[in-house]
Amino acid sequence: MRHLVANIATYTIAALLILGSALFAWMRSAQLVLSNEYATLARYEPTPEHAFEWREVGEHAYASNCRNCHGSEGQGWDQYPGLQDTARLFAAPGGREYLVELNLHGLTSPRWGAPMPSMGHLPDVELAAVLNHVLTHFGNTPPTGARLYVPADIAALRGPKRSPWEVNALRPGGAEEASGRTVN
Amino acid sequence: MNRVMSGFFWISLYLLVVLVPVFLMLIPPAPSGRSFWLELSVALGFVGLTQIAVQFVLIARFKRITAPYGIDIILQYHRQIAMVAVSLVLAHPLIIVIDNPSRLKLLNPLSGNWASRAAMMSVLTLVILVVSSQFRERLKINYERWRLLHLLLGVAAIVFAQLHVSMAGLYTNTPWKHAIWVVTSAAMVMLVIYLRVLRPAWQRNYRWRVAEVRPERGSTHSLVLEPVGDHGMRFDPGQFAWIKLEGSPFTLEEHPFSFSSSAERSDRLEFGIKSLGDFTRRIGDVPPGTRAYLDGPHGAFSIDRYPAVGYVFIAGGVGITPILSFLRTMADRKDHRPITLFYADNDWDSVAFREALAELEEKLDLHCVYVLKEPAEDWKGERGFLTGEVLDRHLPKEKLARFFFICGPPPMMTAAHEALQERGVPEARVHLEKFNLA
Repeated sequence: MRHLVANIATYTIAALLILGSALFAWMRSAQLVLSNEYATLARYEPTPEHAFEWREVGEHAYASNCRNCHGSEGQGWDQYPGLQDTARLFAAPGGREYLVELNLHGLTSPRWGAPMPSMGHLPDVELAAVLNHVLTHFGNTPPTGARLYVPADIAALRGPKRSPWEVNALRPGGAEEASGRTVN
Repeated sequence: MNRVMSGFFWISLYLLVVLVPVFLMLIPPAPSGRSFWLELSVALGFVGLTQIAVQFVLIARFKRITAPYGIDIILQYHRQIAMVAVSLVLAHPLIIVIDNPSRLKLLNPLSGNWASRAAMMSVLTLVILVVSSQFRERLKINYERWRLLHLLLGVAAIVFAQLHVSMAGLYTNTPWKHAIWVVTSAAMVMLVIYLRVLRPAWQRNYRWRVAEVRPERGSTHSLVLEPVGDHGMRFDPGQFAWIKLEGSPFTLEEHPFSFSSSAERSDRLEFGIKSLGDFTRRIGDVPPGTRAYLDGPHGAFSIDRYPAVGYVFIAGGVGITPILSFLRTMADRKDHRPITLFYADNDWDSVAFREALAELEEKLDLHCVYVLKEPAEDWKGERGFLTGEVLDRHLPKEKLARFFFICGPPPMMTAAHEALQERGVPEARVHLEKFNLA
């Protein structure tokens, strides 16, 4: 009798532990509210394009999606690169597209141990805003006269799925060179 | 607190202990959330780690924890929940890699980071730990060596897992959150030190000596222990103790044996031991005066836990020892509740303790039924195996009111248990003692 009860207890405990973990995961993932709430984002949709109000949404999107790995000050840590070099990449030929591609499809490179996951699930508004946020923070200054991103720039590049390695090949200034590895 | 309440208390406590540290990680400032599968994988990793930590407490033989269940259940639970914990731990990297196959790079020790290397060491030790435990006999690892290996691997697994948590560091983003994990892991390592160094040292003050090793029938011996000094061991009839014989209290070699003496005497303990393995074969040569250390009493197989108007005891071979303790205790207490004893053995000459049982039959309301597998020609009692038909011939009419205690080799216990189920004996009235503790 005791042994039977003990078996039932084991299964019950195992099930409750998995349930508890799922609850934890749900609570954590439900924090991504903004990313899924297209309705909230609609009010940021620029009517004339130059009126794109990206600052607030960019800051929020950075905190929800990027801060984990790239750090609250874009400093990076361990296997995750810092973002201080983003403006230089943006200014290089093809850099403007490369930054969008790596967000849409993710990036795997020999330079860093951890891969960049795809952020393609984010709406155009949020992606454009967060790119602009990075380009104006963490020591980055966009080149004078350069136009920052608007949602239409992201939409234009949404196409067939690329692999994270293909994205790496698009990197301005060569895919192998370990530039930008200034913070570790 | 009654046993059911106490049982629920400990199960709830287990869930609480395992889940609360994980949920404390949600208290702000928490890192921003990620996708469901990634977060699930993290939660499973943490839950696996706390479960491994609790494993150290389960095997510590703390009587307050084991008493409501019986330590055999706790050890069974230790084995079962270990599988759950290891599965959850393995699910953690698996989900992470499936979520984004590029992360396979982290599994390469050359391209990963120290956090991932520590994680892989921890998983590796866990896998060796599980394999060496599941296949100990097939791998021909002797019990004492395995115990040492198990101990070292367990400590290594938790230390590497803690290093992984500390270095990955995402959820331990404030000092107090980090402290929860570091302190827990450190406490488990301390517990091992307590169990293997401090408790044996304390055991030295409670030394026993072998008073006598009495040969019994059927290559069985009665090991008689007396305390050195002014202490004793109060136990319930049917319980058992781990015995360390010869050597120091720090040895990893110890063996569980059931008391066969009356629970009314705490200063002269007897254990029935049959020659079955290396240690038990030598028991006859142990000289009187040999030092012994005891860890006990343990176990829940006792008539004192389950009071009834009468009992049926079913013993196979050396399984008679806890039952002998029941009978001797009842005789000392002048307890006249009716008892039927079924005792299966090979032949009449090898029936251990049959003289003692004959004496007890006179003092108690006891009816003994011997079932012999290979009896002599002139044997008039039951022959062959202990089957349902044998039970039918001798079970008292009011059998449903009685409690059944079965102890013997596993196939015999299973057969007897099934026979009782077929005869409509409620499950709650059948109690089994499984001997495979190791």
